[in-house]
Amino acid sequence: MEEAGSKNFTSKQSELFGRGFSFSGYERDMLQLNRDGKSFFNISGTSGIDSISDGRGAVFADFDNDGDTDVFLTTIQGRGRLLFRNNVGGLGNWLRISLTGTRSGNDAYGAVVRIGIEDGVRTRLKAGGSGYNAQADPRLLFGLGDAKQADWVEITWPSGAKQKLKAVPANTSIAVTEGKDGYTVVKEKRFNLPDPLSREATQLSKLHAKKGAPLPDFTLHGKQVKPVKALLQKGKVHLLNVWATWCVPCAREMPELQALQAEHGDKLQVIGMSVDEAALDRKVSMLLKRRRITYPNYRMDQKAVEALYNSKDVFVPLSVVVDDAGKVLDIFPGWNQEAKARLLKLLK
Amino acid sequence: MKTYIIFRLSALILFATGPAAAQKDLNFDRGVLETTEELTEALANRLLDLSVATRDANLLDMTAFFAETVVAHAMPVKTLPTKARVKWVEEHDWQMPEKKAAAMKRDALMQSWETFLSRFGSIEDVRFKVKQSEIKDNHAGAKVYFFLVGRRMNGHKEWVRGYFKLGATYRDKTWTIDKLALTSLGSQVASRDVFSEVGIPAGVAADLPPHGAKGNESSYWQGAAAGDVNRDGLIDVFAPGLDGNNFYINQGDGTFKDMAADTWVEFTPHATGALFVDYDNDGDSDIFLATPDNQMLLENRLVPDNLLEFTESSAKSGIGQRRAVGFSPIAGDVNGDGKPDIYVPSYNRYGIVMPNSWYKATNGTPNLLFLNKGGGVFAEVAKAWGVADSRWSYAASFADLDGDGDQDLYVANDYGENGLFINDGRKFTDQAEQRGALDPGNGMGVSFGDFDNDGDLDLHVTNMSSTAGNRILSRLLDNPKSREEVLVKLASGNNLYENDGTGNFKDSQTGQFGAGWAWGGGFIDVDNDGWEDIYTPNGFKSGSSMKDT
Repeated sequence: MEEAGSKNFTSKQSELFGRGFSFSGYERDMLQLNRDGKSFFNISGTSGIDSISDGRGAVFADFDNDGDTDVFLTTIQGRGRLLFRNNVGGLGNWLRISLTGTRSGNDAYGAVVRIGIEDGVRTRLKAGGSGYNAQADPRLLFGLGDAKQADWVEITWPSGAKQKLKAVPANTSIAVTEGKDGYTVVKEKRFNLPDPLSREATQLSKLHAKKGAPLPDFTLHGKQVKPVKALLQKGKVHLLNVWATWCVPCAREMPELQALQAEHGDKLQVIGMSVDEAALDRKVSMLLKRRRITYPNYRMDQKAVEALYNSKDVFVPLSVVVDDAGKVLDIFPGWNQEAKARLLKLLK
Repeated sequence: MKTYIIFRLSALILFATGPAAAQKDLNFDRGVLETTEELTEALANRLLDLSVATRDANLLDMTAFFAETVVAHAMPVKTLPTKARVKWVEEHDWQMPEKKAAAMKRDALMQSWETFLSRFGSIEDVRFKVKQSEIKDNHAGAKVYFFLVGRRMNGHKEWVRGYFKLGATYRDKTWTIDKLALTSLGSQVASRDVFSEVGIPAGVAADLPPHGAKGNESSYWQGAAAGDVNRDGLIDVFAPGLDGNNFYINQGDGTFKDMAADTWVEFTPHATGALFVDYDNDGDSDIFLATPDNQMLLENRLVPDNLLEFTESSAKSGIGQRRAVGFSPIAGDVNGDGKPDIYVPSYNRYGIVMPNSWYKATNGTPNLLFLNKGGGVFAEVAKAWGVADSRWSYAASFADLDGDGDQDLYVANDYGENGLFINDGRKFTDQAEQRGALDPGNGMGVSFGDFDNDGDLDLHVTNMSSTAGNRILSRLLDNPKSREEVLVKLASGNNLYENDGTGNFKDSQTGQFGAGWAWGGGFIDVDNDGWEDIYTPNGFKSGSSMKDT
């Protein structure tokens, strides 16, 4: 039988890793929706939880007590921890059951709870750890669909004792103690996990340039190499537009900027800055000519890019608006009507 | 990846067929296979570059991947009627071209792609993946899976999936596409996102170096545990870290505060899995940490001192003296004395020690069972109880599976078969084979839940699946025969087993879920409809380039 693996294999692998290669990387996580216990429906790509991060431990819990299951996920690099807020739990009723054992010990791990609703039985295990390096919410959350109540609840404690409850209304959180009849309703603080960062906020977080702060220093390549601040003109607002030859949205917004320049040239100076390599200078000039752009254009080198962006994810288009002293007045990741309105306000 | 997959598959094929039969029945020549797979890998990597250019709608770059004339279909513009699938999801197909793919100018093809891509408000990801390939001389014919994840102009998520028949020619050390015929194309559209990622605004983001860089070189992967550690009715999270642990205390307003330092748990030896367990039954949640070395126990001082602080009780409990390459610790009462016992699956030091087989490795390290003797003391009894499984164990779960009132145990092993240990009150016996739960493969996670709502606990095991593995197998096995089914199983992915109510399992016939290099996850009812859904995180290691080793 062949021995698995070898020193050669592992050393070759580390060498490739060192060069930035992936090993089953950038895989998108999977979410399969159970339709009727007979088939599953793959909704990974529209679920929002199909992240490309290299996920490891997935912890299922209702962190905001709103009656649905959120997911905390650990990954091996970068953010390291992701938190997914559930947005669809509100489509169904629910029932939460917290167990405290006596003969079974406080945690009562291994307890099984069954509930009866109009169309059948639902079963949950109180696991003391499951999945991979993960432990879920110790409180058991049952989805009830449209059912208004659980008709009955049966707890099988790890001690072997069974305990039954009569009907419990939906959307309640209850606590049950081993050997003690009935249940108590738990008053929970309900709130919401925050909204996700907007696309704009996420992109702004990838910049060294911040609104209200001085523009970072960097130099630009034109006919000569000049510090960006040497381009600023007294009494004018400057729009530094970062673009690239390959970028389609850039091509769309550049003529709009050209029109703004023509109309507000007394107060506004648009300055184009491409992030293309020097080897593409000819292509840059050709594109500028074809798009009829006449405002000045420069090339950003790697150092300039690193001065403006704090992340490897260099996104374009990007427009940074600065005053004549180099203070950042506004930042627009992409051009739209709102950006235009905000710029025109600055020109007044 | 290819070296690894070919290496493993050739070992597996020998196992399934015997060396002579392998050559004869399968017409299998390792040299040819490797060359073919190497060129396929080069094509796959080329298509990843095309994927990035397409994602960025970078038409100039996209153009460079195609020959001047391409036998192709223009991308469709019309969609067929929409069908509702679930409350918030609908699907539609795209109007397929009526004619066979014909020669067209590259610019015209690019124009059709521009029209197609401009329908989206934003594009998050695009992939062209080689599922099957045939290579003759310098020409490849391939079946290519395509997907796009993006948003419509109205913000709704759209997931486009389809297949292309692709042709490419290898010249000057690169592949150029000269055929792109569309076989199918469909879209799934959701009126809401099931989940939104809110880690940064909720205050739970770490900032780790890329894996492999200084400070992040370990492959003792880390997870997390949920519990209400201060008894305020809100769920907190303990997450072992690379440079200090995180203890995210729920603030009750949508944010968490990392209180690892305040509670004296910030710095411990490197831990993998954490477990909240009230081991002394005093009413608060203590913390067990599995580590690749000596195991750890931290005692919560909430009761009786009313302090959210932890003191280490590893040594006095007897736990700290036990070594393992520990992962995924679990708690359950194996002897029914009301005191929680702790089980630690143990792996091995991969890279220093290599598995002695890819599909039946026995040289992991023994798993640990800490029997709770009371008075804060544990005895390690895995061997006497028959659960010192010395395969490459990654995860486990306790549950009473045979209905006799005690806790049975399922153990997922990497590079091999899993264990289903039935408890008779004094010891366990491995009945995985007779109970239909061997699940050969790369076991990474276990979860029990009643997916068919018949009142018993079904079993979900996370396993790896591999596009490269399936690709190679499809080349070898036109009509898989029974003895080759084991190979197919090994590359195929997660498995769901149905419990017959007495702890015997059979394949649920709900289809296998190829989730890539999958880890843990399991049953979660995301939409509260009372049917357990399945979530699987995946991915081994993403480098700065999407290209695979």
